[in-house]
Amino acid sequence: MRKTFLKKGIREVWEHKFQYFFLILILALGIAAYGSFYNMADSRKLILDELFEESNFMDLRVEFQYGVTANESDVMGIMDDAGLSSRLETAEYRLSFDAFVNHTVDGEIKTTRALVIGYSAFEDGNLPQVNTPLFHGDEEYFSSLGAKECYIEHKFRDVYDVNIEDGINVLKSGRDYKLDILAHVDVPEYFFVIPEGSIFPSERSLCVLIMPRTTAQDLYAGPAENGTLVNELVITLKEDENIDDFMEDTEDAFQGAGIPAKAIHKDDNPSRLMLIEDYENDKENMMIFPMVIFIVSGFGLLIALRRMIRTHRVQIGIFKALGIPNGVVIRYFGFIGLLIALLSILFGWLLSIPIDSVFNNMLDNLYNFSVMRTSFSWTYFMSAGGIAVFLCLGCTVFPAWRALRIKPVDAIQSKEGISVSRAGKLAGKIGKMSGLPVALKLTLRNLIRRPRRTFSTVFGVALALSLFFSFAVALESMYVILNDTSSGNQWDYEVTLDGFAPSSVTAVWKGEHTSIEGVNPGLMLPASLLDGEDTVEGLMYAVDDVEGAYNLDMLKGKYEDGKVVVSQMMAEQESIKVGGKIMLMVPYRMGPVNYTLIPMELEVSGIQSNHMGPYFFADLDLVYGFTNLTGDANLIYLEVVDGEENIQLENYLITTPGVRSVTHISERQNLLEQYFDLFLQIMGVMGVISMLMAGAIVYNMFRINALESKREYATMKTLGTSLGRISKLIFIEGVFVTVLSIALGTLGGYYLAVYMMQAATDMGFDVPIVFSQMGFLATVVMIVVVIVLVSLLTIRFIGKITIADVIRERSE
Amino acid sequence: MKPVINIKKMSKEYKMGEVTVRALKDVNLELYKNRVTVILGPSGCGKTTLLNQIGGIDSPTRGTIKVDGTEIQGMSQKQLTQYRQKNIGFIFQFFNLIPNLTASENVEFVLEYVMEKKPDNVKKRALKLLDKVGLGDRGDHYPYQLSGGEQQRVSIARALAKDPSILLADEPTGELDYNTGKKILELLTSFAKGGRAVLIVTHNKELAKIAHDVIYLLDGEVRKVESTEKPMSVDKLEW
Repeated sequence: MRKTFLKKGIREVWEHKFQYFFLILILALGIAAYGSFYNMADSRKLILDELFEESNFMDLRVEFQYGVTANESDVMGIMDDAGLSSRLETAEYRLSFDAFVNHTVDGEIKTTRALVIGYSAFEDGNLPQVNTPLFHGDEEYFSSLGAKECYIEHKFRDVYDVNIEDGINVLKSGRDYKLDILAHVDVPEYFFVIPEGSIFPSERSLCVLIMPRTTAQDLYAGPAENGTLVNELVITLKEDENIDDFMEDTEDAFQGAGIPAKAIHKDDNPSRLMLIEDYENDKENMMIFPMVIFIVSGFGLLIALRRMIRTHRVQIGIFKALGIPNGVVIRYFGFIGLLIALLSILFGWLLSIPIDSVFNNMLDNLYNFSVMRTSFSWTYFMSAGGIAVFLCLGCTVFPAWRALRIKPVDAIQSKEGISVSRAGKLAGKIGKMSGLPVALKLTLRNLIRRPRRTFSTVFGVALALSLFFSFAVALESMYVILNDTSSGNQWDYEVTLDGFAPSSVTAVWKGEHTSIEGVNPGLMLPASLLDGEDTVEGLMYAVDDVEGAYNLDMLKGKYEDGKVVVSQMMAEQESIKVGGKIMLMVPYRMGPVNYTLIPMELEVSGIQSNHMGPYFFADLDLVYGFTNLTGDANLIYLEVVDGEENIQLENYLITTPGVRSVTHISERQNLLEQYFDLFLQIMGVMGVISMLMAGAIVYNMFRINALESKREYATMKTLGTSLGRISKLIFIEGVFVTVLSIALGTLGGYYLAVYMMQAATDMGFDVPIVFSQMGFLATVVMIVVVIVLVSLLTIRFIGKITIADVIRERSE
Repeated sequence: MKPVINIKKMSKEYKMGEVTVRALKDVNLELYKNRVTVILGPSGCGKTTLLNQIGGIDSPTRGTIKVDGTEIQGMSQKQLTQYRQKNIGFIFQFFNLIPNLTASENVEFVLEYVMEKKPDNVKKRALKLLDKVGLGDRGDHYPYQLSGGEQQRVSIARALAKDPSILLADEPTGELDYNTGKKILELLTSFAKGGRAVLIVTHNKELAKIAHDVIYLLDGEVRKVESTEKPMSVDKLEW
């Protein structure tokens, strides 16, 4: 292509720089979002791989259930007898349990739930071989832990600003131990422990302490006189061993010895599972966001460029009349497309720098691991760039090729868009409606007589609106589910116990604390749903007064004594119907510390809607009937005076032997609120991006419309029509476009939200799509604001038209 | 007789990069009611630029333009709009009708949307104006359904809708055939007789014969002004 054409192409872009700038912005946002999201996903993968590698992360964990502990020698004996010991590479025998720690926050003593892990390796002065703690900083902190020493989980220390030199006070069952802290570490298998108040909530908002097992045992049960206690094993297997087989054999071996044990595959370890699933789900599903942005930007670009080329029909006619070959014309427009693509890529790269930085900061704040890595791959960026080039070339070359098929004379002498089409006839009918003012007739005819123009404008605006509305719907849906979940609990305090204890213990509590108004004992048991060959993990909540503890908010059926209510998520995943029967594997007590699992068939009386997760709800008597746990509880709900937090009661419960955790309802609600806040932040960022895109798309559409009608406006101005009255025409057209776009965009946005929330369903939430009035109102306000702003810009553009130049033009 | 438009030492300059182009140089001009004035000159001599200054769609660099004694140079955009609204009727070479409005609606648009106060019986008045230009039966036709001459006549009806004191026509016959052109000129001269000042810009020397005043413009300067009280009647024109 000749230099003249290249210059002309550059001048063309420069002449319409604002219009092209917005096109470039739309595309650049898509490119930046696409590249940055994928890079963030890769950074996470890099961090995870290194964390698991460096910590010698276990292959599996064996956890004794229902608060059962056993002597190490007995456990070893069981392992030897079953031939399991010879299949091991390394094993760590641990004693872990929940406790409480006292630490100072802003000068006040705060009591927080803690997890104590007693490692046997420290007894020999070594670091554990399995699940090695990872130290923060380059300095080698490790030294053998003494009896009164511990390591503390990093994030907890960081958030609460725990001074390592001050040590920490650990409380368990009325015992009170002051320990020195040697270092802060990342604790394998609890990598994802994040304290309350952090951006991302977690029910594991607790302090993790690593200490010698003997110290842990002193805390748990007093001085170890009768051997060392164990309730957990972390294991790595020999290379040729099959983890699943080993898990099955281990469970059988311990089960056979009357110890209810659960083997947990490394991939099912809650922290690892959460990190990896989170990563994989995000990579798979969160990509919807950049993809949606990219698709919307692609559509926006397609519409705008197509229209732009149409305004060049005369120019194309002149090129042809001058004898310029078609190939040169195609290359000319191709060059403009390429220029847009290249500038979008450049701009997208520039935008991706702050976006990458925001994402990396988010990663750092969310995880704050001792190992932080960032990944940047040009592949994603170039893929997005490639798509951008393809889009831009497609959007310029194809319409130019179509325009080339028009006879030059027709293009040069083109009369502005009227034809005796059906749309024309309709417009004609409107013209005969004598009651309508001319301005309204003109606007209506402009819309009807140029159906493609109208459609592309409405479609472009609707697309932008859809994007924004979908985020509003997603946000509202999330809010509703969190709100429902939050209001699903009616208790004031939830107290969990280390093992099972007679529910009558609460009589003592009531005696000590008159603020306790009601006691509702219950059982919280693991209950696996048998689905043919597969088992689905679930949790059974059996409470004396189910409806007093939970607001079940039934979706279908009702709560009935002697039957079970299933959470919506479990019901949908397993296609459970009201009136149907389900088979659950539940624990059965054979002796004081001797359990086994038995299958139990139960009838489903209802499906509740306000809880997330795979839950079953039943009355306590029913569960007592098949577990042989009559009279015992491991979960107690308390009602207190005014429902308010009661520090005295909390302190009493915390120091009560056997109490594992004490949670006030407000803490649970806070978690949900924090979760909602996080979601709000993500949606907020997406909302801003979608608003920017809406602005850019709408601006382009209106600007092209104004360019196409430039001569009309100039004529009106020459005739003496004031800018105010021309503005009225623009606003009337804006109103029509808004109304039509809202109708189309709302529909599109709703289905886009359904598509996006599918991702949340894949992540374990059952999200009902809520068509919210507030979301709709916000979207309408957003689009009206955008259209008014863009209309004002268009009016400014019309105001600046040099009438003298424009009216002498025969055609644009 | 008092001129309706009085231009004194008016110049118009354009900056094109570092070069200053003088489109009009010290133009002096007077336009009178009941008279047809033709500005004659070759392409690029500044005819349209002069018309634009008078029409208030461009502003002179120097000099004064008085319309009925009021200076219009230096007026704000809003004041210029009002000036055009009240005083000026424009007729364009390429008609510049609004394509999505019928002939009648193009006129109605001015009555309804340009004039400060919307008059009564807009439709009736529009049809009357169209009737005046010989298009009484074509009111429902869209511009694309009309010939060039008919479109120019609609354009004239539209210009007359505001009942302006000054009619400005930029090459009004430039796009028309001989017979149609003559009809348009007849209309324009008849409006001058009706008490308006009519200014026609053209490069066609023959058209100058119908004017009371002919201003010869060359390189932005008025080279000669010829006046007659008895211009040739349009039906004798030939070109």
